[in-house]
Amino acid sequence: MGGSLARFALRRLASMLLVLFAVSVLVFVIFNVLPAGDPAVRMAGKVPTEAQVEAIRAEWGFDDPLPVQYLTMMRKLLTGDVVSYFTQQNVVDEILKGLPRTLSLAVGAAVIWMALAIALGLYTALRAGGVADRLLGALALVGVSLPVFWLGALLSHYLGYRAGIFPGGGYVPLTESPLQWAWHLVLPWTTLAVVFIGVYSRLLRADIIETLGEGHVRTARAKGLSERRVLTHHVLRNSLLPILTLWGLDFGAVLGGGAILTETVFDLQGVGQYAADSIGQLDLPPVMAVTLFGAFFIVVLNTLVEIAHAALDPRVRLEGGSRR
Amino acid sequence: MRAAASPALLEVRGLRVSFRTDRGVVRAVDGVDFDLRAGEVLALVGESGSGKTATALALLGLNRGPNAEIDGSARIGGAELIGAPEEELRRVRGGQVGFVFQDAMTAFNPVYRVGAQIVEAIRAHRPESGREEARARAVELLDAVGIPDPERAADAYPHELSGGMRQRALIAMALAPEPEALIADEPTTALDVTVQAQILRLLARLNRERQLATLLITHDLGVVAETADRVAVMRDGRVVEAGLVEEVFRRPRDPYTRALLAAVPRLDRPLARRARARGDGPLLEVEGLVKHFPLRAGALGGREAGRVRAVDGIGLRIGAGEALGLVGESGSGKTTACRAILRLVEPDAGSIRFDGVELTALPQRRLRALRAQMQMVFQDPWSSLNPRHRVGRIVAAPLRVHGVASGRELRRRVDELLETVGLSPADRDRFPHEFSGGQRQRIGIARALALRPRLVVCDEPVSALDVSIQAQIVALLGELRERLGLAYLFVAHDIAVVREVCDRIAVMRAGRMVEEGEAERVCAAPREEYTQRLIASVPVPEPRAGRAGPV
Repeated sequence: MGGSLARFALRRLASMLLVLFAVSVLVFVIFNVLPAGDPAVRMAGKVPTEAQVEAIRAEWGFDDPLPVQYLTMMRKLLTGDVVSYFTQQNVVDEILKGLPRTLSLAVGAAVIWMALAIALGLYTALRAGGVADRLLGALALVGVSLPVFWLGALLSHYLGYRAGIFPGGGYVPLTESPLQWAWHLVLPWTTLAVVFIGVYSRLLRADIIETLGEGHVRTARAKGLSERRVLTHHVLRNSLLPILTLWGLDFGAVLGGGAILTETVFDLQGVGQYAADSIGQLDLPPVMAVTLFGAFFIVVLNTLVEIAHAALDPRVRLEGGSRR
Repeated sequence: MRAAASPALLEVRGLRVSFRTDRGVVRAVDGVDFDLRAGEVLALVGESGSGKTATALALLGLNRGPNAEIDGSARIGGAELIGAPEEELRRVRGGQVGFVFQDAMTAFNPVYRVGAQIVEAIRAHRPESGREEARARAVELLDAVGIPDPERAADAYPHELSGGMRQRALIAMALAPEPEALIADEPTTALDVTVQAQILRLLARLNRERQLATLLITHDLGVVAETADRVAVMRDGRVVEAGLVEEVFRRPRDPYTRALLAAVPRLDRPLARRARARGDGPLLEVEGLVKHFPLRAGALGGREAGRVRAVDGIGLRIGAGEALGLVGESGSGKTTACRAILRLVEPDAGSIRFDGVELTALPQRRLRALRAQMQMVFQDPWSSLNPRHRVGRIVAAPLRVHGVASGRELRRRVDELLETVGLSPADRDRFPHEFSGGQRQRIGIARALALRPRLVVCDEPVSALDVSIQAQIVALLGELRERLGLAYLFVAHDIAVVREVCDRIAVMRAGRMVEEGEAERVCAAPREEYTQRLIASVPVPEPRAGRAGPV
């Protein structure tokens, strides 16, 4: 049984490597092969000199055959030898600089959205059809529909600028002052979490209602377990599994720079904001690097979550096995 | 009787359960009385919907809810259960009354190991017992219910055990907190006849050894005769007849009891043989059919570690208008054989000739056209009908797919088909969930008949149904065969049912044919030991007839 989990994990890790390779090829093709025109000119910026373009062409080997070009690109990305031709800054250094900020945002927001989604999902499932369920259901819909830039700006303006309770933006490293770190992040966390709470609480509610009707929950009650234990060990434990898969995707996306709007509204200077700024300037090397970096996080996290899922639900380990 | 002397452990008086639904109040249980004593088995018999499960659940408050109304009285050792606070009931649940549910696959939580779930049951009632101690007790119980390697079973997940072992483990879990009474709700319905016989013997033994008071809920009168001391027959929420098993079976007073008894398929019942429709030559000829499934191993699943020989070289012949029964336990390869014959899975080797045409080499397009003449009726009338389609659309689907009819003609054909299977054209606009199990199976049969097939493959068409409904479907299949000149390949694990429908019987075991012959001959004088065992396992509605040992 332990062996089956190890085998499953190995298979998943192997296919993860395959997917990462495919993603990198795709990025290469999309950025350097598909668009018409000279990739060196596109990279160089708005008004490049002939010499600059030639230098870039030589650096990236754009005259080489495509497979060699691909290898050059990967070597440059992996060794941190990619430079923006606008800012002259090293792209990988910039991403690493933004990473702790993005990580802080993602982890805090994830804790908030999971905790609240579980609480709300359980509460509304147990009172399904009641007034509280309908009200919270409507509220979840509102939360999902609120545009992040609008909600973020609103919070930042009223609670930050006007009331002065929270800072309107900026970032303080955790190592410098944990309190200030959290204080500066409360509004971004809330802004980012609202959408996810809406989605996750409704999905969880539906799954819990389904699980409550299952035979094993009736068995658990017939065994004489307390209602609390039935809910935690036999209902929530099972219903959280599909949510976990979704969480892996969303959390990976935020880590990979997906929270562009939240980062920009609160001026966190994270990976997402870096991507947004680079796109605004049509600065290709950073955009390429961030794309690959984001894909990497999504694929890796998704794989880890799949392995965790298999550890928590043995039936997943069977090839082609279904959950119910 | 011995049992009558002792006072009742459980006294139920005037129990009523009703549920508020969208369509008004449903009275599930309507004034039920019974007593249950230590050391006796009381069987609660009835069809689905008769209120037997609702009765059992109500005793422990397991069907309480905002839409349920439960009143009357149920006392265990003098303590009232109906209306008792949850905290009190919780001690009774599992602690005083153990519950064994029908389907062990869904009754266990799939994400925990079997041992851990038994330990949880023990510790719910004995919080003072340590994990080690509870675990040792769990293994001991798994051993007591006859599981060969109890240590390993305790470490297994529910899906890693076979159906019979899972049911044993479920019984072990119910016994874990040492209850005085056991409620077993259709404990063998999901099992093969041979496994069923083992589980029934186990329940009888436990009842004897532990002086348990057992409430056995079943729709199968054969099971009652083999296990119970007393029986209460339920219909529409009421007990219509109750008494000692011998008396009720020998001299049933209520007409409903008599009808139920008559519905049980029996191997010793003379059959009104239909004149066998004989066409010219065989309709289906199968030779050397093989279907193996590889077992994958290795880190990436690339290495083939072994093969499941699901179908391992079988041959069979069905004449036009003839019915062949295929019998065997689950896992014997019956279903795979059917699917391979229709090429729903690709066979690995062998030849399949339908009406002289070799199917194995046929291109998909021509196979599709031929499939119109070979239709299938599935086992589970719940999952084989699309819940979001109306009945009319379900039955019309084959006609549409094959472009046979459309518009008004299609509608006429659908109405005709519904009438053929004993439904009404008005049922066209209803959804599958509005029908009972038997009616759904009729819908499945109507769909299979839509294209006027010559061969219908029935894969366990009645095993998910109540005995009385089973008899109706079997009768319908017999009548349709005569009227439409159909040939059947009829798959079932219950040889008594097969005998009622088929001219010949083929017995399958582990992917091979064990025995084949005229139905009457195979049932009356089986040549193989395996066939004999299958026949001996069929529960007989004859008190004490099949009962092992003294009670």
